[in-house]
Amino acid sequence: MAHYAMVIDLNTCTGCNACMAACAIENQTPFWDNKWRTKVHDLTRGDSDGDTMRIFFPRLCNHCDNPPCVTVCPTGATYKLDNGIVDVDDEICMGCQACTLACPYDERYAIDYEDNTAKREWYGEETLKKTRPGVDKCNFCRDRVEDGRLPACVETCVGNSRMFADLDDPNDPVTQLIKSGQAQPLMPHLGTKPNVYYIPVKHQTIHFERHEFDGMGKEGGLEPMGPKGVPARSDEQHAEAAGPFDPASPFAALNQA
Amino acid sequence: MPNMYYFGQDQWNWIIAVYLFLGGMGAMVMAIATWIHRYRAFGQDNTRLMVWGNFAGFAMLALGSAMLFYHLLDHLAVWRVFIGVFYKPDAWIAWGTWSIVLGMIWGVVYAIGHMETPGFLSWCRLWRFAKWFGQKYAAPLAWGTIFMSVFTAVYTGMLLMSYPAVDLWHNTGIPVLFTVSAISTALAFMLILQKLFVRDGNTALSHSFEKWDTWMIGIELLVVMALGFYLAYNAHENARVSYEILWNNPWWVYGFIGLGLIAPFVLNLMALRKWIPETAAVVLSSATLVLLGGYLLRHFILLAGVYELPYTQFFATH
Repeated sequence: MAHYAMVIDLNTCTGCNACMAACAIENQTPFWDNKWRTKVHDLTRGDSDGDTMRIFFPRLCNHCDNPPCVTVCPTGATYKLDNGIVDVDDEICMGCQACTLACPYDERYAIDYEDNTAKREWYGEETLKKTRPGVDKCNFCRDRVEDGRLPACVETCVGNSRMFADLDDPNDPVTQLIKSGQAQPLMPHLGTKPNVYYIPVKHQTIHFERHEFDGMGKEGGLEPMGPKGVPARSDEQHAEAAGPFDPASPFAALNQA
Repeated sequence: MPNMYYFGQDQWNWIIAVYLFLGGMGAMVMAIATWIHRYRAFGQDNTRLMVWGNFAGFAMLALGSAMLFYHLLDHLAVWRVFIGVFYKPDAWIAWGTWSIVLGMIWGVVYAIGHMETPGFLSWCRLWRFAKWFGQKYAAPLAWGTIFMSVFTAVYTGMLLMSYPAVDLWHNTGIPVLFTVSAISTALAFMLILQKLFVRDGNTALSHSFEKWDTWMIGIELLVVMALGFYLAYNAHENARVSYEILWNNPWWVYGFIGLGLIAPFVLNLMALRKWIPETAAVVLSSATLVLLGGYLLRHFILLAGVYELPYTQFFATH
């Protein structure tokens, strides 16, 4: 039996949010209401010019081996499979949201009657996967995984930041990465035994010459808004600077229209 | 608190606070009402107070449960909570639902067994059956009501304690605090019932209620103080944020601690020590303040539950 886990390399996540889009479409989440099974946070670290860095932090259900959400669920709607996946049965969930409060990772959200109505319009009645209101969360794309495919977010990740692992397979390179200790879980002190691991961001410093720094909005001698005292270009000047349109471009037809 | 991210929760709002408040108070009202009747407290027949208490407790539990039901996302699936105890015995809500329902039914049947049948219900066979049942099985019904009611009061605290990420909730003080508060508010409500509706003139009983209420408020003050120290000097940032939310909020400091605990404690103490006359106005003022404090406690304990996200744990390796 497999025991699934995920590794996320924070060094290679580019913040493209393709994982969010792939997940939303695959799992039919009401993203228009800002409800996602996975999110990528755009964060900034550092408090001085020299050590400021921008970091993208993907989040999803941690599929804990000791999941507090499963413990508090009074109907058994939230349950853990033998392969490590924690899933929610929307037919059984009554939506008390006790699991949402029990989750230390804020990885659950409510789907109400209005969301379901909107979902029918967005995704179509025939292909709708979950039809009952209740609590929803990531299930590692259980249908895909049980079909031998990767979760949608892993498959679509352009930076290979997300990696899927079978912890019961010692030859799995991602499992070996986890066993090496390079990847760490979130909040291990809570005893939830999460199965999503993160490779921390290596210390990076943005270097530039101090003497060339001349105030806000001007770094390395470059003016992001253009040189001072020069009037902004007109549309014609922009078109002239860009040169003739390439007729071989796939957008040529649009340009002519 | 640099480099740490927090968020509160908005899933369990004032509706759940009302549920926790009415659930704890209503259950303990039934327990106390049944107990004083069963034991004929102070040698008097407390049937009238017991009937008022059990029906009032029933109404409070019904209203509280209705609030929880309204808050559910899928109302049609609510029946599944009743079978949850058979395969999810580790979920507090499943047990709490049973204790509320059984306590309500047993308490009301016990009350019906000891009251006159109202004229407009003389036709009702169900009422006659409940009256017969309540008389024949009075003792097990009484003890069942008391057990289930105490369990419900404890459950309201255990429920919050089962959420491990929030230090404000996940500690042994919360069930103690909620239980003591449930007893205190129930005693206050019994005093209101006795003074306003029952008017049985049982001063020994009301004096005893006041004495016990004073003890409960005193214990509650100690637990709140201990909770404050626990949060303020906690190793986890979320606990310290909860402390700041609570103790920087005038409704918590002046509303709950000041008006809801200290004021009724002082009033009761002065009345019990005969420094002021133990008039109905004093007793009712004190009891009303206790009820105000009881709700504010649940409201702010839910409001101040703070989660932390350890993003910075992964920001840099040096």
